[in-house]
Parts: sequence; structure tokens; C-alpha cells
Amino acid sequence: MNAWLAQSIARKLLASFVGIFVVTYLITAVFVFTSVRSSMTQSEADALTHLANQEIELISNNLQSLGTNLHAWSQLEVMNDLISGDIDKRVARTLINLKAQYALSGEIYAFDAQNKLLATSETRAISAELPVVWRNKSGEMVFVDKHINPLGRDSVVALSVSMSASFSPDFKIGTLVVTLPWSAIEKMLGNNFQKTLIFKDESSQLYFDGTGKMQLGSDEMHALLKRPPELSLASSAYVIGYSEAYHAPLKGWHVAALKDASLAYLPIKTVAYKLVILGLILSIPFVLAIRWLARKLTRPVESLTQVVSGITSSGDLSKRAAIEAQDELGTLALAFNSMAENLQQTSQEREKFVAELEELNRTLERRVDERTQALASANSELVSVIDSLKSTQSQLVHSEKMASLGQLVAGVAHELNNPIGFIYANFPHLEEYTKDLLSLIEELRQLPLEDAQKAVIEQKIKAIDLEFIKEDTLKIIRSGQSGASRIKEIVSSLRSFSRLDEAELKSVILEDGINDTLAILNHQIRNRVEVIKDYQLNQPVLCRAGQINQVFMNIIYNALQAIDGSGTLRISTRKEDEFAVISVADSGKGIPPDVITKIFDPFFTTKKVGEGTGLGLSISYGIIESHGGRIEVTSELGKGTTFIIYIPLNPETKPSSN
Amino acid sequence: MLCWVRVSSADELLVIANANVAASSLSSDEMAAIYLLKTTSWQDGENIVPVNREAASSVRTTFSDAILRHPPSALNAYWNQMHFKGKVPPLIQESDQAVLAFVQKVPGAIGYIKATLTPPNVKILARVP
Repeated sequence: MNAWLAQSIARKLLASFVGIFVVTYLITAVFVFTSVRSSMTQSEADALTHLANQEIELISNNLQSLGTNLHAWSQLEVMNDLISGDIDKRVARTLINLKAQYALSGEIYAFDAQNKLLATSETRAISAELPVVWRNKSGEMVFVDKHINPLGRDSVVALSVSMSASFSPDFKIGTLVVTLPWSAIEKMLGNNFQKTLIFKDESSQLYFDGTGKMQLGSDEMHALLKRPPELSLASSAYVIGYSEAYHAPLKGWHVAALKDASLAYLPIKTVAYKLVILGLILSIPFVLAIRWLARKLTRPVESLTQVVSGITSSGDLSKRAAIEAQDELGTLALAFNSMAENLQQTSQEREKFVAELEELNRTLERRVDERTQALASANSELVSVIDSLKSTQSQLVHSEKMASLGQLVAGVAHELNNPIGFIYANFPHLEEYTKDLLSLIEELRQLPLEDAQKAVIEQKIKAIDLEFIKEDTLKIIRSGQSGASRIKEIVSSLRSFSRLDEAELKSVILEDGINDTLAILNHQIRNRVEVIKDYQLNQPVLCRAGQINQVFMNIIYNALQAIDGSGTLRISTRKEDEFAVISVADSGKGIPPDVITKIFDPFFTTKKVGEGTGLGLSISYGIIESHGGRIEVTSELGKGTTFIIYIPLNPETKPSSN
Repeated sequence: MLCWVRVSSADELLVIANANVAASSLSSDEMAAIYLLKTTSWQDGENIVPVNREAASSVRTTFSDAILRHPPSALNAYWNQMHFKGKVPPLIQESDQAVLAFVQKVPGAIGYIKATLTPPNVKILARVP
């Protein structure tokens, strides 16, 4: 319900006004209903009061006229006969006549001053004293309320008056009493008989019950004495009218006229139905009018809302609300329009500024890019300059070192060359001479000598173990020969390797250089690495042989270092176009990919400090480059590394500057 | 019953009064004045209550002729007139016994009866004629 209401002002208005209408109408209807009911009660009670008044008035009038009559009768001259004891029975006759004449339903009794009954309208003869209830000591007439006639049997009311002589008011001549049977009073109540109650102030019981079925308790009597217009008696609801007690003879009498409440309020049910129908009929035009009003009120708001939501969703600030009236909503629409206009202007300015800012931003970015590129190029120039400086420096250092080393090695090799030449050259002679000596000894043994001499000789031969000496001496000679041969070989290699000073281009067989290098490194190869040679170039290459040998040295040394334990080293040469191609492949541990790009950098090394300079490959690179060639490297972790060196066959195309 | 004593002839009337009346005799004029309502009280101030007989009675005719000297019809008209002037006309009793009983019991009462008996407890103020 709340959600339904919250959706629209028109619904809220409708609900509010319908609520107000319902509440107002309910209040009005309840007010009208209660007013009508109370006025109906009042009018019913008034009507019943009127009825009750009429009834009590009727009784009262009857009694009053009876009293007037009694008064007149008491002043009849004939009453003076009471003084004389009604000797002539004139009073009795008069009373009988009066009863007949006035058609009295009760009786008249005349008593003398001595309270003796002297005359009566009754035909029977009665002898009696004046009953106490009828005695009247005052001069006025006395009304004796409902009682049993002391001289009869039925219920009566009575009027009693004391009589004076017509000639002298002071002379009391007796008492005249007239009775009225209660049945006569009941008769006076006429048709409304059954709906009438008579009660008295001091009485705790109903005096007369016209309905015949009222057994009222003291509470109900008490309530009745308060004279409420509505009362429930003997479990039935009644509207009641009460007589107003101004009737002189009937002092303390109340006549209550009753009407069944259901009967009395029958018309009010019609009123209630009419009120409900009237409410329904009124509600239709009211609701329609409120709906119309609500729509009329909310239509400008809705159109304004549509414009606002249109602007919100599309962002189109050029939309304007329609101004339908000059009322508050019209003013609102006007204000909204001017606000939208301001917003539009502001937005346009903002967009302009944003565009300018973006333009400035782009310019700035372009400049930054330009500057960055300039910086990057400057930086790369610097890096390349530094690289070339480093390389130059290392090459300078290396070449200086190599020059010194080469000179040293060349000197040593030269100094060693002569002695080892002697040694190597003398071993064949030593072998020959030793063989001669040994054959001489054999001949000497075969000579016929004395046994004693022979025994001494034999003993000595035995003591020195000639047989062993024979064999061992030859072995020693061969071994020495072999050692000398190797020394000769090493020296030869050193000599050829250290031809660093041979900066002049020479045509050399590259395979010789490779073999020399392998010979120098033989102590690392022997019993550990299988060297597989595949030489297919076999032609002289014009190059600086010392530098190229240095390159071979570096690369093969590295390859041997890379092989842990046993392995293979495959070295091949071939011709490829105008290049001599030397490939060195090892079965070593390989080079990690993050390292492989740095291996030609100067001072880059994976060895411990003091074991390597980090210059070897860098120098090699520089040497090959200076020859107009290149070095390529491929490596696979755990399987090995292959260096491929390209050296131009015809270096004239790129003259060396080194 | 009262004891009646014969004292006079049949036509004679006795004028009687209550025993307490302060008078012992009355002249005819005095009686006429009383019955024509000109004298209304005795000498001691007591109101006079005259008692008459009914119009048809012979006693009244006798008394009217002898004392009042007017015919009964004229007297009736006179007493009606007096009644309207507020004076009480003589009361009517319809028998000598009734008159006697009335006079005996009412102070200041005066009446007339046939003189055939001597009435007790009343004063006889005159005899007519």
C-alpha cells in the first residue's frame, strides 16, 4: 500500500482527500445519526411525556371535577340535616340522586359531627363509624390514595371533605366522602392502558402496571425514579415519557408511558441506511473531482519530471519544460528552464575547456615523447660510445698484455728451442751406443773365462740384474726420446702461437693453428675429452695468424672448461661463400639464456675472481670483427654450446685498421 | 324518641329556640324581623339561625300568614334576593321533628312547630297566634 502510494503525488492526494472525506463523512454521519437518534428519543419521550401528562391530567381532571362536585355537594343546604340526624332521610335520598345524576362509579358517604355514618348512596343499610383513613381534620378537601374501601371490598381512591353548616362556617356538621374505584381510573387510561406504569415517589413497587408483566427489582425501581428517557425494564428496552408532577390531588404520582425501543427506533434504521447510501452517492462525484484535481495538479509536475528525467538520461540540456500556467508550478518550470539554460552554458564552457585541456595534454605528451626519444637516442649513443670505449680499452689492455706475453713466450720458446734440440738430437745416438754396450756385455759373457772369473762376473751381473737393465735402459731412452719430442712440439706451438707481433697479414692454414692450440691444451684434453676433427677447408686464409690463434685458444679453452668430466669436442672447418667457417661444439653444460647475450661483454665472467679476466671472448670478438668477420653462438642447457667463427677469405674487402 | 306533651290546640304554633338563646320571648315583629333577615343576631351577639318549613306545608302557611304577613311566593322572591345579597335565608326542615332536633342542636337556632306537644330542651319564645 505504502509502495503504491509512494509512486505518485496524485495517489497521495487522492488517498488523503478520500481519507478526509471518509473521516468527515463518518463524523458527520455519526453526528447526524446520534443527533437524529437523540432527537428521536427526545421527541418520542416528549410524545410519551405528553401522553403520560394527558393520562395523569385525565385522572387529575376527573378527580378535580369530582372534588369540585364534592365541594358543591358538601355545601348543599340539605347537609344541614346531618345536624338533626337526617331524620327525614333527605341526605340519603340526595346522595342516591347525586350518584345517579353524576353517573358515579363510586359511592358517597355522609358522616355527622360525631363521625357516625348517617347517609350513603348505597342502597344497603350500613351502620358504621367514619373510618380513620377518611378522617379529615383540616378544613380542606383531602385526597385519600389507593386503598381498600373500609366500607366495601374493592380498591378505591377517595375524596374527603369536612362540612360546615350553611349558616355558620364554624359549625361542623360532619364529613362527606366520595370514593372512586381503581377500576375507573384504569378505565381512564383508555387504549394506552397496556403501556402505562404508575408509580409514586416513596413507593418501592409499581402502583399500577399496565403491561401486567413487570416484576421490577429495587434497582429497576430506583432507575425508574430517576426518570431516564431510555430504560431497560424486565429485559426489554423502552423509551419512556414521564408525567410532570404538578397535579395537585395526585401528589407524588408519576405516570410513565412506555414504548418498545425497537418500535421507537424503527425509523432511525431507515435513516442509517439512507446515510450510508448518501455517503456512497456523495463519494462518487467527490472521488472523481479529487482525481480530476489531482491530475490537473500533477500534470505540470509530471511534464516537468519528464523533462528533468529526459535531461538526466540523455544529457541533452537543450530541453525545456512547458509553462502551462502562471501558478507556483509555472514559476517552478520557469526557474527550471533558466537553471537548465545556465547549466547548458556552463556545460558548453566546460566542454570547451576540456577540449582545450585535452589539446594541451596531447601537445605535452608529444613533447614528452619527443624529449624521451631524444634522451633515449642520446642514451643509446652514450651506451654505444661507452661500449666501444670499453671494448677499445679492453682490446688495448689485452693486446698490450698479449704483446708482453707473446714476447715472453717467444723469448722462452726460443731459449728452450736450442737445448731441447740438442737433447732430441742426441737420443738416437744414446740408443745406438747403449745397444752397442749391451751387445758388448753379451759378447763378454760368452768369452771362455775361468769359472771363478766367470762366477764373479755372473755374480755382478746378477747383482745389478743385467737383464732388467737391458730392458729398462731401452725403455728410459725411448721415454726420454718421447719427452724430448713433446717438449720440442710444445716449444714449436708456443712459437707459432706467440706470433703476436706478426701483425702483418699472412696466408696461413687455419687447421695448423687449431692443432697447435689443441697441443697447448693437451693436458686438459688427454684421457678426458674426445676431440673429433672435421677439417674440410684446407686452404690458406689471409689473416693475422697470431690473433686468430688467440681466438681459437679462448674458444677451445672455454669449451674444455664447459665439459665436466668426459665429453666430446667437435671442431670442423669449411668454406661457406667468401668465408672460412670454423665451428667449435662442445658437449658441456651450456650457457643460460639470460647470460648468453652478455658473454661478449668485456669483463663479464662466470668464473671465480682470479680465475678469469672476462676478457677472452671480448677480445676474440674484437679480433674477428677487425678481420671483417663475425662470431655466432648457439647454446642449449645441458647439451652443449657451439661457437661458429666466420673469417673472410679475402680480407681486402675490409681493410684492417688494427 | 322525644317525649311529646300536648299543651295547645291543633292550629297553634310554638316558636322555639335553642336553649342557650339569650331571650325569653319574642314579639311578632321581632320574629318577622328575624325571618326577613333584618335581625341576624341575638342580644348576646349569637348569630340567629332561623328554620323554616317547606313551602308546601300548612304550618309554614300558618306561620307566614300570622307573623310575616306576606304570601309564600312573595317571600320566596324576597329570600332569593337576600340570598344574592349574601345573607342566608331560613333553613328548610320538612317535619316538626326535624325542626325540633335542629333547634335543639344548633346554638342560636329558632324555628316553629305545631303546638300539639311540649318540646324538651328548647326555649318557647312565643305562641302563634
